[in-house]
Amino acid sequence: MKILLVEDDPETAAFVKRGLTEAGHIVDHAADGRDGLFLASDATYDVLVVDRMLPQLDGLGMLRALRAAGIRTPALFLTARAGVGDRVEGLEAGADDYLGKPFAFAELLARVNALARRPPLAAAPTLLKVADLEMDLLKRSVSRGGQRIDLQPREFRLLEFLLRRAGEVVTRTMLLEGVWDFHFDPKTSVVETHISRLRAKLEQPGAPALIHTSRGAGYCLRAPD
Amino acid sequence: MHPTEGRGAWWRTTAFRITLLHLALTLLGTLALSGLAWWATTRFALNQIADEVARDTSVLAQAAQLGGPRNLALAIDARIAADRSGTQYFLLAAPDGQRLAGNLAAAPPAFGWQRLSLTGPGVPPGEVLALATPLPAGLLVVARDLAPVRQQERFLLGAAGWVGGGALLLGLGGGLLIARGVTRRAAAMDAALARVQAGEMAHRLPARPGGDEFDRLARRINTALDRVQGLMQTLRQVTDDIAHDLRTPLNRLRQRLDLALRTGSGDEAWRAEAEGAIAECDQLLEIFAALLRIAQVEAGARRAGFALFDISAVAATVAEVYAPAAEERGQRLRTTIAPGIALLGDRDLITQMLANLLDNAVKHGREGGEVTLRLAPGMLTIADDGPGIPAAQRDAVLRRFTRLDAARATPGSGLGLALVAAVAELHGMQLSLGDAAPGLVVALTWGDGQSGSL
Repeated sequence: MKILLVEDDPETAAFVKRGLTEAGHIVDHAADGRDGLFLASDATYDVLVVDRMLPQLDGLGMLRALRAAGIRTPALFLTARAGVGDRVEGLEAGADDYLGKPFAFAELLARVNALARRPPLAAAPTLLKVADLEMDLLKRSVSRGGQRIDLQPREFRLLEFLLRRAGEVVTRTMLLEGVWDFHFDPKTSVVETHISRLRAKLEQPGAPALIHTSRGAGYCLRAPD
Repeated sequence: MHPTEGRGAWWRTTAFRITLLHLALTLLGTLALSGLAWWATTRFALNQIADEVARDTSVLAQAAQLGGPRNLALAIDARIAADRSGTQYFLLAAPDGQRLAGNLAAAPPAFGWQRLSLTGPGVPPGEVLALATPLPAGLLVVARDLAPVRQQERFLLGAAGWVGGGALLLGLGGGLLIARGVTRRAAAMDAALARVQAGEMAHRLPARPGGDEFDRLARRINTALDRVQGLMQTLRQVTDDIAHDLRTPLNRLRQRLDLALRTGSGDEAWRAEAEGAIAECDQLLEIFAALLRIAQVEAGARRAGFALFDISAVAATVAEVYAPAAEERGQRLRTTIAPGIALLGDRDLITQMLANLLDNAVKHGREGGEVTLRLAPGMLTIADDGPGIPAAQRDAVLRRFTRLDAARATPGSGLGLALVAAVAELHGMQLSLGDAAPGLVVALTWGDGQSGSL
């Protein structure tokens, strides 16, 4: 993927650029909003990673200008985590996702990947399938190997979120935001508890694992190796 | 402050300046009034004299017409004889200027109304108002002394002087008295504020209950000082707390890295230590973020983004998130949520507030017990059946970093309830902690101002 990183802090920029490059992406870097806007105007990037606080033109202004020019490249907005209203402002300016600073690199990588692969909304499937796990969105039913599994509504929603992103790493905060609309980190093991209960229902003793834990990053639903 | 500043010269006080201005206006008024009275009275007296002169002239002219110059001379003599006041003057002069009758020495140089100065032996010096009329027999002059008018004028001037002087003296004396009183009050406030400025933050201005505008001002300043003192104490408390509570994880982090440096060997061990260090850092950063967030909420900056949202849906979601955690502890999570309740506020902050409260209830509730969440219009309660919080400590737990001894063993930053308190305050909600016998019940109530329909 070709990624444009707009970040003025050289330390953070080097950290992010190096990580994304190691993950196999091509990264261009702009140190201020004006250069960022200039580079992004070409529309040759798959994802933009834009910091909020930038010299010349701040991240909000840069995104607004891009969107006004009709450039729809998916953008990840980096904000200060404590900023109470920053998320709303970022999304209103045209960002597709946001991430509070400081962040774990795995979190950034998972979100960049998710943004690039975001499927078009129109073609929403009614049947989700990974290996022998099937979810029928119309009948609201789940089965594994033909065996019906009874899920509570909250478990169904969590599994649907994972199934729609099958093969991708989904972080704790992505789950909190996507499934429950929690835009903060409760710092307790609520997500882990949800996952372990879902796992217990999906993976009967002896059956191969479907939900894999990605160390220090999150979870990934994929076919057994 | 310079010590002399409070003891300025008395003539540089506001009260004295106001007194001077007041005096000047009073004097101006007295002068204008006196002038008007003087002018009106004098005019009236002069007119009266002129009337008498004209009447006498016409009477005498008639006498001349009826009885000739002889009769006129007799009439004049009779009038002079009858005048006891000695203010009437007459003259009848022949066409050649010779005096035929009267007590005036000489004829005036012209006819008509005029003022003449009386000079000559045996005549008191003075001014007269005269009317010279030509008659067939000669020139008739009738005159009246103006001395009574002059006397009246002098009297009026004297009276005006006394009144003006009296007003001046009284005003000056009163003004100085007022100035002294005001200066003394201001000096007392000044001295009290100087002590506060010098660091005696608890010192307050003297203020009588009820009282005048100075007492009201003093009370207002005292209230402001109370607030400033409260804020300073909070700030000091927070600073101390931050210093203390951040030192602990920083120490842990340092020890961990120190230990890793001395004993660590092999990639796996290094990796484990690095991950541990990152986790410690994350915890520190999270504390900072939580503190900043509380500060932002307390500053009220978020109120501009208030919108109506369905708090019933939020409560249901939060309950859903914490249900498995409660089940892990063998607890029953009972929810009674009235559907479709609208609240005017910040959805994210209310979500976090409910999450913090439910997190506390699940964490501190009895294992195998019950946690209840109730939402009704204008009221939300969350109760557990754990050890609860002693009544004396219920205020303290709403402050930053307060962690009761019983809770030291469980993870947490001691900022959860502080954020709850800040969010409740931002939304105009009353937050109260009570005894659920056993356990803690947290109640949030709000009025119609925060409610609405979706």
